[in-house]
Amino acid sequence: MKKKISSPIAYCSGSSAGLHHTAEGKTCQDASMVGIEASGWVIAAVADGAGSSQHSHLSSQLAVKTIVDRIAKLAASDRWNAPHFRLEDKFWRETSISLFKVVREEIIRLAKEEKADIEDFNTTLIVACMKGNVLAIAHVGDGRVAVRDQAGNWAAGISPFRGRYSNETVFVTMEDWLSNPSMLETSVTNKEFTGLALLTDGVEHAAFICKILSSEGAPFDDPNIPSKEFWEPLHQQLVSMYRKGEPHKSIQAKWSQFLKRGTPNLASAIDDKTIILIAK
Amino acid sequence: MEFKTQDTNENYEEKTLCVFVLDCSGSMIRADRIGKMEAGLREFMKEIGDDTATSQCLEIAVITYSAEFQLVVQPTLVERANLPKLVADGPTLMIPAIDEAIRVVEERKKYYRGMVPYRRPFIILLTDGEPYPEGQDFAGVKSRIQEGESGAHFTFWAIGVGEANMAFLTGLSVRPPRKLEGTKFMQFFEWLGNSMKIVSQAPSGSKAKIPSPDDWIEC
Repeated sequence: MKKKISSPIAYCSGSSAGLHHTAEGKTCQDASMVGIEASGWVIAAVADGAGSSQHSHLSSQLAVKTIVDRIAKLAASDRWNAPHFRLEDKFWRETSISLFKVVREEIIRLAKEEKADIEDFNTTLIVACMKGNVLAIAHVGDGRVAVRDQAGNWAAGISPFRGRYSNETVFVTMEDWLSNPSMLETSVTNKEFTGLALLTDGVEHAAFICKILSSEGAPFDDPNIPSKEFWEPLHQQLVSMYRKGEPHKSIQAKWSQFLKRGTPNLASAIDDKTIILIAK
Repeated sequence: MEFKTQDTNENYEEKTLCVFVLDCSGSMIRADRIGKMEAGLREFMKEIGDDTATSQCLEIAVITYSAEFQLVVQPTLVERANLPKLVADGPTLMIPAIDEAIRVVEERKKYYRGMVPYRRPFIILLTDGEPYPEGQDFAGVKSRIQEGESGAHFTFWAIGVGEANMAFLTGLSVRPPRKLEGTKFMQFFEWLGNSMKIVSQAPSGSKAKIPSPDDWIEC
């Protein structure tokens, strides 16, 4: 967590190891980071290290730190703070490609330092940066994003990438997304929003409608719908804690407990769990 | 104030909940009943998981009991159920375990309401004995089972194994208890899996006809 000024938003973030890792005594392979810049930009990132990759707990942490730091530098730049500056689709896409390449190069450097294969550092990455009503998101791999509008409705902010099999995705470390533009999804919206959540896929069954029987074709559909029943109470609770002036450390501690066993689905999650929740 | 919210249902399919109440007292080590029961349950979970439709409809929960009871698997689809290794040790705290199963059923039904349709849940007790130590609230839980059955809140099946006190189970359960032949846990769970597939896939509002238990029942 990185905090430079008293927060213009309420937020909480954290990760909790899934049952798979706790049973084996392994460390959580997810990571998250939030940056709140003096310029008013807020940056949030989550990364999910691949379970099969031995050092992915290192690469997921490096991925979120690198991208938040890089965007923080851009957010402090004259260009981004110029009165006429508009973060638009084409610009954000080009910026995202550069940023994700930097993340990939940093992880490759880490792999060389550790004298290990790059495949041991596979990780996904989702990043969102926001200021006012502008919300820019970029991601490679799976995970989910939920966005709350002014009316309190929640909608998905990204489409998670799935490979041919249900447990496959693409990682920042791979070359695939460099040559296949559809594997790096970017978007910019300029519509009032009041809440945002970034999460790794270990939480998605608790928080999204993401699997229903299909009447045709493949056996399952993924409606990719954030569950209002899940998100709305959390949003209201976060806003309430913030308005009462509850210290951020206290909010974070409560969030950490919630991620561990806040609902039966969270308590029984096999995979690592990470959520950043933001309320404006 | 803490962070608190409602679990998301993973899909909108009609749900059937099956709560297992498993005897893990010391006597279950005889003839490796505990190992065979665990193997049978895992095979059941695999069979259900391999069935595209039933895997999205059938939720299970598992409560084990010996010196204490524990909800070791919260209500969830089998693909997300993480069953721990079962260990046989200690006395037979059966009655509070059954009460816990009734509580789990009522809580899960509250969660289903307004989100997904659901069928009458099942509570399935497997035991090779009777409650021990004495002093457990037999009359209370018997009354709650009767109320649950007569009010169609749940269906309660008692399955006796080995030296199970069948007379006790007859007094406890509204439905006649069944005695497992030897350690035919695999056959029991196979029958149960087939039954659950039929129950969960029967058209809404209809009564499902489940297969005969001849393969595993002691006559």
